[in-house]
Amino acid sequence: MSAVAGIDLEVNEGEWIAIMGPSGSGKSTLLNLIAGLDTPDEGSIMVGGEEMSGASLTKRALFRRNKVGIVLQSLNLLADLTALQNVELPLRIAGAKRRSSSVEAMGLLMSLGIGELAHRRPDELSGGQQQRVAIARALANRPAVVLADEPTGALDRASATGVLDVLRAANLAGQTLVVVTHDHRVASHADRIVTLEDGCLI
Amino acid sequence: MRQLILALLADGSGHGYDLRRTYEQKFGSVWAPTNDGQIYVTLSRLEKEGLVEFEVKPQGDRPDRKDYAMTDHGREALVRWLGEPPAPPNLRSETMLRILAAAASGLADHQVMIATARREYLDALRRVDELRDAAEDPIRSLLVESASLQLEADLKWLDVASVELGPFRKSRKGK
Repeated sequence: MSAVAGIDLEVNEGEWIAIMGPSGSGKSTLLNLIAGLDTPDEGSIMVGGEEMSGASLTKRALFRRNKVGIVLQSLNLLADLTALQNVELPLRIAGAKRRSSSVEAMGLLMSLGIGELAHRRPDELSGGQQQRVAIARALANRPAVVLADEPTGALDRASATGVLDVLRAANLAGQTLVVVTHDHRVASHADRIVTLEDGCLI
Repeated sequence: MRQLILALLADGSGHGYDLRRTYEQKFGSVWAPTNDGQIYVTLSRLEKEGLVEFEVKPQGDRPDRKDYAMTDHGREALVRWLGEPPAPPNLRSETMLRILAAAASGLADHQVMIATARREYLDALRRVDELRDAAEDPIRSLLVESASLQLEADLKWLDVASVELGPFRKSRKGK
């Protein structure tokens, strides 16, 4: 049985797409396919004109590193690094100098309302705070495409507002957003909402 | 609007233009665009009822200014209004009733109605959320938050209704 099937979805550059639908409808699976974290049994995934579905693991990893920022429900923060270091990491890997990475990362953490927690490790942060660190990390490199799975899911309303504002700023700056969400406030800012039900677009 | 204008005058007097500006900063554009004329009409009615009074201040070359102040009668009316028990929550929504009537009668596709309502509510939610950007006044922020939470509740109901009501089946008696 397929988690998703027969989906034909084209996302334009700079567009903000919200993916909505009941739990278990295949939203996260679709996001993982776009991110290159899963491969489809049939069909293809093209990103920026490049075929990703048949690409090697290395090519997909490079694609994620250079072009995509991802926030998954499992946040995958590195436990031994502070919040700031987690956010700096993609910048450092991309070759940015320590000082400029630090300034950029700190700016993002501050805009998400957790600047004062920058030097704490993930296990010293609440779930919502960790989620905001993961969002900052995903946006740090200013990737062309941001994929986010329930980015406001674990957050109280004020924190969710902070995340929403950061996403809006990213989209205004030209970044393409594909956001799985149950949050109507997030979806209301999307250019387009697609709804999944039982693995199909409706 | 009457009570809100009285509330704005509780702190002291203000001329029409200032009142209009303060009203706009705190309450404007969340429910509907503020109609400037309506503020002056309301002030005039409040004055006729003895709830506010005004003093004409000459301004040299410019037109005279009217400084409005709340009367004792106005203060009593405002305090009385503030002390009234809360109105029962309004649980009826015309949109909701139409969708349910469509599902019950089979005379219109409730799923199309739900999709149309969802688009409209999402547009309204985005507009309200954008007002938050410029909402420096805490009263206004709370007003925006109230509108946003109500719209979100309505959208959640539309999601639930869409699943629970299932696909449209045309009434056999429908033409």
